[in-house]
Amino acid sequence: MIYSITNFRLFSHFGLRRRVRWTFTVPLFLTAVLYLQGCDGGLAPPELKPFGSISGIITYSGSWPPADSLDDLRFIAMRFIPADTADFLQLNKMEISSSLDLFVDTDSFLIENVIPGGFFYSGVAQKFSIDLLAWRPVGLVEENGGIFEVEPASRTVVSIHVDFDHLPPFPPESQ
Amino acid sequence: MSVRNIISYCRLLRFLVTALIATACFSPGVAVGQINTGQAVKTGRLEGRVVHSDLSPFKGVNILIEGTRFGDVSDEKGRFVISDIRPGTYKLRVSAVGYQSHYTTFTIISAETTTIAVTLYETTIQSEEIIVTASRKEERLLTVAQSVSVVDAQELENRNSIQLDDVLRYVPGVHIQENQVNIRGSSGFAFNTGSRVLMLLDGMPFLTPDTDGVPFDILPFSQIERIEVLKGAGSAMYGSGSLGGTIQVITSGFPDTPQTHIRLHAMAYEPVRYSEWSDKWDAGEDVRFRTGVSFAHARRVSPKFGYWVDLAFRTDQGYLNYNTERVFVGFGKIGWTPSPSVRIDVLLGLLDRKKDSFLFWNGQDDVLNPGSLSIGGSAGPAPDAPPSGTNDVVNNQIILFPSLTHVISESFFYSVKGRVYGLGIRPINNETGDVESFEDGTVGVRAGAETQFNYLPSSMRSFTAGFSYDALVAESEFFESSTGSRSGKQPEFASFIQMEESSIQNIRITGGLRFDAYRVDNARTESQVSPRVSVSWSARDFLVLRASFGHGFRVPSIAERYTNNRDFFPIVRNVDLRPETSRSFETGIRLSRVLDGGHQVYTDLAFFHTAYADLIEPRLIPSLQAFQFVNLTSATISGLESTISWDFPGNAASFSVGYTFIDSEDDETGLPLPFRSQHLVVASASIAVLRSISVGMDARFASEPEEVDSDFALFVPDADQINTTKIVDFRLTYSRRAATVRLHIKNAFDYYYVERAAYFGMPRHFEIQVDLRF
Repeated sequence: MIYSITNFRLFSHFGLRRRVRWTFTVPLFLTAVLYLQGCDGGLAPPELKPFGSISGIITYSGSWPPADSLDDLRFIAMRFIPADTADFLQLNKMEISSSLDLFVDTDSFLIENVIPGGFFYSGVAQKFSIDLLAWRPVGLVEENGGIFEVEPASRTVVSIHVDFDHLPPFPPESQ
Repeated sequence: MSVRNIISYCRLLRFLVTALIATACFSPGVAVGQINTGQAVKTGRLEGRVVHSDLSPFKGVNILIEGTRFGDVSDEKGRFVISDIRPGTYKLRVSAVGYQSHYTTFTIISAETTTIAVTLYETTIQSEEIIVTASRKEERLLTVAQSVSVVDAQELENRNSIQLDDVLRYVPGVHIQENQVNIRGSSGFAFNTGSRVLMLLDGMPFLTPDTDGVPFDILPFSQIERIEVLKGAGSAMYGSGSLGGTIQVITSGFPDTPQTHIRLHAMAYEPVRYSEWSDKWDAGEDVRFRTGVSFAHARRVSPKFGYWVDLAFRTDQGYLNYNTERVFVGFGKIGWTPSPSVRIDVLLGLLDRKKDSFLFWNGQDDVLNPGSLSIGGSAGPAPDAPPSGTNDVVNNQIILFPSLTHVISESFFYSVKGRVYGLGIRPINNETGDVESFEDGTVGVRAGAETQFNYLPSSMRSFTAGFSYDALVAESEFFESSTGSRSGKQPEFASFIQMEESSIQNIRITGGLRFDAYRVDNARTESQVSPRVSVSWSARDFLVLRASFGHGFRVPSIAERYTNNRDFFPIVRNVDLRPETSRSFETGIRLSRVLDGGHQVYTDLAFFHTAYADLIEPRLIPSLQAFQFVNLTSATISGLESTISWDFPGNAASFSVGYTFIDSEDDETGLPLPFRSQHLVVASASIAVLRSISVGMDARFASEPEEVDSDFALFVPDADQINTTKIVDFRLTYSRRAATVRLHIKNAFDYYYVERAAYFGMPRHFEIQVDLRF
């Protein structure tokens, strides 16, 4: 490559234009090949681990809130302990069930395709207005201090009791 | 900004204007060159001859006395004559397309004829082009004090540029993140809201009225003469938005012979090679297409009247799900010269675009599908629910830029320019597919006028001053002002003055000051004063040392200030947002030289340092339980940029490479700013293999950002996964008579990268482009 460039002016003086062009072509393609060698293919799908699942039984007691304050009701499992309702935006660190039935004594849920890992704050949450962050917990998983683990290719079963007359504090008192 | 401060600034401005005019009036150079003292002054005459390098006469060469409107065109014997020149020392520019411009200084003595001879050498480089952005007047690229990159019409055509981002991706120091322009690390990523780069179209501010975003589509790509990218703060010249740089798009004039240009192009996106991705989209394994056609015609009907039209249409199936597009862009320009001293231009543009905008992916394991914020489980969007990571709209835009230039005398002329930029966005109903009304979308208008006075007392000195007013209003269902109105208003007034002095041997000094005031929320007036000073020293004809300092600011866009909505995503308005500001300093050395045999080498090395304050970013505010645009932090960005290009005679080959090192730091956290690559490299090469065939290659590299925005990654899966960008494009060009056929292989090595947070970059795609000119 160095030889080609340093001799370029000499070729030009003798009018060997085509030869000069190809002389320049060689280092160009050498550069391209070197670049190709440095390529690693870039972004790739992550290596997937077998999913787990979470299922549970929910029992209700107390007086249900008015229907107009029951915009939604779901089981939510969090991989962290929330400090504020703004933490509900951490959707990537939560597993959320489909909507639960309202005004019933008992219900169940199943969340599939859960990435294995630990969950530290989970329970049934009520959405009391249309606001995206208008959620509050109404009943928590209490076994083992509320902490459970989802293993690959296995189902973790939890139970929650919701007493609408005695709602759990939020943010959690331990925080 | 209080009223007292505004008055103080007005007084300061008045003082500076007075001082500058006084300087001009009492300067000896002015007295010799132009001022009519009441005594009869006998003029002189300049004669000359222009020849080719083989000493044959050169016909049709433009000869212009810089700083004046005196000039001539060489005849068939290469001769030219310029008469009635007042005594003094002047600089002459001799230029012809495809040839190295020649500059020389000459002196006119009363009642005498000065004779000069000029030889022009063939060249292919763009470095000697005349540019206008640096100080609102024409100047040579070599002597501009700031860093400027120029993309000419040939380069636009070579890369089949149909959107602005196609153009800018290979400009040194520029990093495009989907629809956000980032010059030397000035911008992170904010969905093209609140651009820190100002765009100008024929000198008119050209940012969308609602978000102050860069409009990538609505440009007459077949009628662009050149695009200049000015790096660093430039608000002293153009006001708000020029925080990190300015993009100036200059449209073509009118050719003496009619020209018609037809372009057909078709592109095929290659399916991704990973079945883990393609299996999750029905069309994931299909080849997807983009096709388009454009027609342009330009002509000068008479010496007084010319016009051009540029019509383009394209459809794009997109390489991502929910990313189709159909675009029509129409432009027209007329130029009328009713008298030798008056010129009127009118530029009209229209855009109609239907587009599914892919906002964010569904994670690194599902990059081709948009994600969803719908709370329906962790396995992706709920069945049958439209993904919230996409946005379907019909977008209509119109621009009307009339301008008038009136030459009062050889040393004084003024221009009056009007500008109207209207935008309407209508959402598309996801269930019915119907286009909804403007009331359900966004409507915005930016309309204003600018008057600029140019006083050229001598070829060594110039003054430019003017003022402008713009009404800016946007209405959207997402906006809410303090009074509860859905419309946001932000009228702006500005006045500016600048001077250029080059009477000192080989030194050119430019200074400027601009005052901007704008009304916020119908409640208060805020203002900015933007100074600028620059010096360039031509140590040799081919070597220039330069330094510049400038102030930049950006007034928050209406969208940033007034968006107030919780339907989809909780955002709270912030009418108290302050402007972002920047102070940038740059020094550099630039060399442009023709070597033996006609080879031209151009190199530029610059060191830059910019201090930003009150940067605006969207942040999650826990007390509001919502996001809000806030003045977050201050930061510094330092670095260096090096550009080298080498052009061979006769278009035999060309080679260029640019490297930019960016060191950014958040002053409060000490961490690098998010979404900034520390290393940017662009390289291009083209070789004429045979008389009608050439091959070319473009490469670009952007290192992995050191930091990403963690708030975005809270709810968008894998939004913090951004890798290094390493893209290589190849092209093969065949030209014969009026036809040119180009084959492009873009992203030739099928390297997968993240264009911006949660947005997969284009995989390998093949394109054929046919250009017919007659």
